Amino acid sequence: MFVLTDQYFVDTYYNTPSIDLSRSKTEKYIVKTQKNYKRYSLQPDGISPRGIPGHGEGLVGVDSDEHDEEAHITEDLELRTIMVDKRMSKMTKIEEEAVPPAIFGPQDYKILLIGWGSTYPLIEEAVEIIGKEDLAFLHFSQVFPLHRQTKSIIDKAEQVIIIENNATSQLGRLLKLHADVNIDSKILKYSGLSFSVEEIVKNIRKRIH
Amino acid sequence: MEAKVYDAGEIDIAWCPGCGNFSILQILKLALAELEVQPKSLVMVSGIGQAAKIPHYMNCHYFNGLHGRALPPATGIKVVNPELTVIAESGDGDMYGEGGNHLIHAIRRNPDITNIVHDNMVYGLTKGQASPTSQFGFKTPVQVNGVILQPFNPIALAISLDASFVARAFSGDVEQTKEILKKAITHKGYALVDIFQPCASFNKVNTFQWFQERTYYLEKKHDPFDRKKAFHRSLEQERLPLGIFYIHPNKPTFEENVGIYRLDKTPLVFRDEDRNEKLQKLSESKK
Repeated sequence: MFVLTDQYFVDTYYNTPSIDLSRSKTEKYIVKTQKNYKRYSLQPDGISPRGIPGHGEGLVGVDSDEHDEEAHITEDLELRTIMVDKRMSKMTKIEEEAVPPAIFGPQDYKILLIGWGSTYPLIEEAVEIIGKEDLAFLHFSQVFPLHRQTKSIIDKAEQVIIIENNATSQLGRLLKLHADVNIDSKILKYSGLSFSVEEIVKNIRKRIH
Repeated sequence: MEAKVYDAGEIDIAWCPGCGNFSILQILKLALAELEVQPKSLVMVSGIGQAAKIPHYMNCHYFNGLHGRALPPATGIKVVNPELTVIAESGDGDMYGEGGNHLIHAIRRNPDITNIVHDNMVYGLTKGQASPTSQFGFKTPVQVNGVILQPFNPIALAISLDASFVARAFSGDVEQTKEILKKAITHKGYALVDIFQPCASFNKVNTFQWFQERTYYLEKKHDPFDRKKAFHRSLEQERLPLGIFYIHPNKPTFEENVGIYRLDKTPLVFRDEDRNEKLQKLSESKK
């Protein structure tokens, strides 16, 4: 799992409410190993039980190169294919667990703004200032893999505007590639600074009627 | 305990005939057996290279990770479970080249691990490019006019950083190398053992005979507790000393210094900590 962050977020977290952790649970997935334990044993969902050294009867090996079920390096081409399939099959479960994007504003929107990461409070405030009845904001806290509803949520809008703090519209490209959605216009800033609410409001107004 | 408990069984070994890795593997098994270290309590950690394949040829736990990155996971494994014997073992290219920066800071942290480096003065896995310990003028298919850099001196570097145990050995001497390894493994703190070994295929200069002729053992009267003298000896180049150069006894280890075992000796990995409370505190501290 990769957690993306940026300087604006880290510079301003003093100003955000604390997360309530009282109801969160620590779940451990470490198993006590049996004698013939294999760290990369082939399982229907691709996920092998995780053992650690010193816990149980088995020996635990891990490897960065292509390997067999025990973790020993291999150049067997058939095994290589099996192991690639094993890793790729995990994606099904990861997709099932994907966090859906959050919609702010009316459910029957015609204009949809898209943002991700630390631009969230800025775009939300801009939506409030503009106060248009058919304007909503879709925020992604998980950008990959995308939640299955992504395409239907975006396709519902008549006009889609993406707002990103990078030069190439990285999320826009990801959405095109993995959800096949059309984005009508982009508001991009890549001077090195984050957006201000005022400039987001100004740029949205230029694009909507 | 017999060394064969470490045998990996029916395996295909990728090393060339005559490679020094074979004797280092055998010497390590002998040393571990004499120390009664059980395969179940040993973790071998390595990076990339021919030497880095050593965990695959042993019956024990292992972490064969990224190029040059054996020392960070080795430190991590030791700190979460100090009951394990942890050995980070790789070649001179992996440990001193790709992993040079990790080497410096692992020495500074001083985790209770043993760092064995197979030093054949060449990159063998990739067929013979100059490594950090290649001699000045050493010709390779890449360095066609010879290496123009001065070789890296791991012994001098380790002593200059006050590494808690610094030794050099030669794969051709089973008895002495085994004794050095036993002392390194039982030493409390970071222990570096640089082991000279010939690369039969890609280093035609620093051969078995070359090492035999150019090395000698530090005298019995050498005082390994004298850091300045040890450093002085590490600079010798004409003939290369073998043996234990330097020991800093009872230097506090990383596991001791981080403080997590001061009140509770239970390995961190087996503790049931209240993470929520600690995370909440951490979160509040950022306000």
